[in-house]
Amino acid sequence: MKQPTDISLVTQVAVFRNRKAFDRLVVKYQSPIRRFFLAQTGGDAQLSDDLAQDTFVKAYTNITHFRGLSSFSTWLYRIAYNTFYDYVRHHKPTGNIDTPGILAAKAAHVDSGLKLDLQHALRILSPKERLCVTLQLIEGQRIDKIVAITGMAEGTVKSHLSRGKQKLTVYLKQNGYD
Amino acid sequence: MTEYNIDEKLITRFFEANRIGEIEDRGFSRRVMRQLPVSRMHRLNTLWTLLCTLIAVVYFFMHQGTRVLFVAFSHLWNNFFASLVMPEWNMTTALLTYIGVVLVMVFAVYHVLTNARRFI
Repeated sequence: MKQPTDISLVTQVAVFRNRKAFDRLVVKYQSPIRRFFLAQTGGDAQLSDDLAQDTFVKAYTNITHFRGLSSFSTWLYRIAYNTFYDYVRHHKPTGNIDTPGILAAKAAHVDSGLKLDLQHALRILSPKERLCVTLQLIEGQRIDKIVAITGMAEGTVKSHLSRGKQKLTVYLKQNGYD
Repeated sequence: MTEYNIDEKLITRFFEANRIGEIEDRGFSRRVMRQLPVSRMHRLNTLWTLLCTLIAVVYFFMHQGTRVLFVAFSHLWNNFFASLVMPEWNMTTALLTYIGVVLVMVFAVYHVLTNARRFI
């Protein structure tokens, strides 16, 4: 049987408030969205699931604002990014998303869905570097998609990627990877 | 820190080796679906349907609906069988009415069940 496209499912949700159609979207995108949060939270599975849940609820509530200018997945990642940004802001009143080590307090005892080496490697990056690096290297997003998700300028994304990869190269070489 | 240039191959190999595969659902989507808000219009619609159903049921029993329905159905049933045994053009009305009533009842039950499942 032919699978319905994202656009047809979104239309059913937006026009008829069809919850079954939205359920299919959740089933389809739960894995990439939860994986995205796992990378951002340093492997905290519980927090990742809570943030992913918030993301899907926000997507359902605001689905009529989806204009179809980008793909549904890009729109969903953008909501996920904003959800994470809000979480960071509310839980770190004196810092911002660029502050490295925002997850340091949680880092010691995370319920990891992330391999330990990857957790350690991602922890040396600033949140924005981590965001760009994970979107590109874990989620396989192109630069133009990362630009659409984060709302940053292309040059800024490239610069975060470059700095992040430089840090990763140093870290990996110093830790015996070759 | 800047003593190394970016080693794309090393980084790609590292991320490939530490790839996070597909995360199993394990009830996640069910939990999300339970958290979705129900719109005010939808709630009002359900209340209105329930109110109308209640009025219809009360009216039905107050006016001996079961007896009326029994008589009506026995007539329909007889006419239906008559139309099968002796098909005549003027008998098709009874047959169509019978099919129509059955279809409406099936759809009504289906609609009520689907709505009920949504709120459980």
